[in-house]
Amino acid sequence: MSSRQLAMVMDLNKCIGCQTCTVACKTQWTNRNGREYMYWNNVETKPGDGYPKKWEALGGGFDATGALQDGVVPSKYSEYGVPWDYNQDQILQGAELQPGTDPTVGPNWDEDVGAGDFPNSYFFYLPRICNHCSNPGCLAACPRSAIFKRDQDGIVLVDLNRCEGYKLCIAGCPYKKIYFNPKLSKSEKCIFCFPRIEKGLPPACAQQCVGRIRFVGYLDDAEGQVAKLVNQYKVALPLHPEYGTQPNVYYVPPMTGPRKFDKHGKPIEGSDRIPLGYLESLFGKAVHDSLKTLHAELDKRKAGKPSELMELLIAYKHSDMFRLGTKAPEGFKLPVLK
Amino acid sequence: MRAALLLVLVGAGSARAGPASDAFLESETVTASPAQSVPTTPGDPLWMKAPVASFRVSAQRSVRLNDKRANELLGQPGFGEVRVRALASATELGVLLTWNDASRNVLPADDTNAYPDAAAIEIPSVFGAGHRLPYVGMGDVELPVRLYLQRKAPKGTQANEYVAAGFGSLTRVPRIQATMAMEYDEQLKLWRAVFVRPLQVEGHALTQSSLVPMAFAVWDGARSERGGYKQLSAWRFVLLPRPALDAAYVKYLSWGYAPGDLGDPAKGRAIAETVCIACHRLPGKTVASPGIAPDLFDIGAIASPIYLRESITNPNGVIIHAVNPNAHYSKASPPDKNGAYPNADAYQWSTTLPGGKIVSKMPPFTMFTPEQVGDLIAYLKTLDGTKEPEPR
Repeated sequence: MSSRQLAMVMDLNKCIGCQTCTVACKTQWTNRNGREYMYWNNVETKPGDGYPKKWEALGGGFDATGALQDGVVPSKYSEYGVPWDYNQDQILQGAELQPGTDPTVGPNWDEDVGAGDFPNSYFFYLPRICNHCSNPGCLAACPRSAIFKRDQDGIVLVDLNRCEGYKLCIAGCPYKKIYFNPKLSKSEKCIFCFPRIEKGLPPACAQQCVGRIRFVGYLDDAEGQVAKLVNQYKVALPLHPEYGTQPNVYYVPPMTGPRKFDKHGKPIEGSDRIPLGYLESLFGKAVHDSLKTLHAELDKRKAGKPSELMELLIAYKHSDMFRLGTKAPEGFKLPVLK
Repeated sequence: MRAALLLVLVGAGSARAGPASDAFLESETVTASPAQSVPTTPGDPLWMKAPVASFRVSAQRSVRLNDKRANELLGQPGFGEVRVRALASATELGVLLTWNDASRNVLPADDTNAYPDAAAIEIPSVFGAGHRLPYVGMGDVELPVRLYLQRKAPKGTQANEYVAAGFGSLTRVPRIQATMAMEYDEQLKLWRAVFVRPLQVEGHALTQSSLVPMAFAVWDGARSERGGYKQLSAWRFVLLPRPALDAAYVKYLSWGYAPGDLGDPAKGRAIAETVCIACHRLPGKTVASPGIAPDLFDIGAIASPIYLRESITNPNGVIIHAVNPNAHYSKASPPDKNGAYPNADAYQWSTTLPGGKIVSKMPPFTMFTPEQVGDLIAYLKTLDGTKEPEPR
């Protein structure tokens, strides 16, 4: 659908849930003009309801044949959460810190709750932006052709002149990463910071990431770290590939979760609290090979042998992690995952 | 209505070409009363001087959209009808729509899944003797339409003027020349919506014929209606005081209104359920994959007999692009280099021949005898969207 495709890889092993990406995005794009409730970038705790609440149960995406599926448009009141303020100006006069409303849901409502029983409970963080899919559900759902993929980089954008605010894109996106702006009566979404991309800069969320978990580059740039993680080592995987949209944000799955404790409180060697089946439900069957590769490369490095993959995941230099000024090569083809 | 209609007919007696014309004029038209000027407020008493016509509206079921909640509400009873009055001055035409609605819904100031009540009228770009009717769902490739849409906002209305040439092509016109207003009557639980526009605007005269084709759509915010989720009428006609009644146009439009024009619906049903169901979904007969062609659940409520006859025998005369060409991709085709699958061709309703000519995917059914076409249309006219709701 586009000549080239920009992609982002996020290494979940290094996400500390600090929300710096969320704030970078919010201050850049969504703190005004009807976007206050939106989080184009959010970091949610998995397992968990996420944002908007229970988005994985709200439909959209495609079935196995490629037919768009029905979806639900979330409510600001019951699924996104209404932004609220605290009475910070009154606490010096002796008041207790309280929210101005009685909130019942919000973007980080179940932070760090996770799953499993103490002491073997577990969770990890999942940062989410628009996946700038190769077959976007939002684009497929729009009856007005108001959503398009930019030819030069595959960024998915809304033509606000054509958008009539029907919200079918919101029902169609299985990741619920396109939002309705009630002030403009139009849909808006993560724009992959395209004005920054055009200046050779990565999106604000990637630039500001404290844990340096985000890599940005073109899938066809074989020398780039994104292409190496996605195409060469195949350790970076799309979220919910079964939704059928061909997402272009890829995740290195959590491989070094804490070990389980036995009944005496001693860690069990070789155990992992995060069930493999849960990771498979998020990243598909390819997660097994990805984890195998990651562990093999880690063991290599532990044995004192060189590992390009481990070096790469250390994320030494922004200039290597963000490769934007490249030209399209001849004969590129995205490999298909098992 | 009768009295006003007769007045016009007396003035244009030659148009009374027979029972078909009479039946057509009686059921499909609303007579615009002459007025010094056309009021732009819905509550103006002058509107009550104009004769009223009641036109059926039914939930749009020709194309299926992807909002789960709105789809669940589709089967519930809608408004049923809109009542239409029209006034014409020397320079303007105005219509007043009224319809019963239990609740008033406005454009949400804040929420993300609430919808306003709204109303629209649609007028073909060209009409009159020698012109066929455009596809009622926002025109077609050959025959664009003009649309006037108002949505209820917290204060006043959000009014827009559009042109369209088929699904998805609705485009705002920068300069709005019509005056629109809608008001909710809390006591009677009904909406009144006024549309007033000059008879003559750049590129579009309403005086092309004495019969101005007009289709009506109303949206119920309480049913999550917006865009293609709407309740619409078939093409109806506003009878202007001037020019004289367009007899040739009436003759053309009124085919199918005389007893004997249409045939036996039972025979037509047999044809539809053996031939048409290959691509179109019919009540209780939904073997075709949704989206391959328009569904026919409500075709009788939105299409006139002459339109159906032309569509069956000459589909290339009415090219309609699929409402959403991207809603099905072909998993069987190889993806492109970035992993994107191409759109599935089966869900495109038209195809472009080498040389650029666009043709409909529907073949011309010229093998049917005129009697069979009459039977088929008699059956299709019974499909008003109320029977055997679409299975889920």
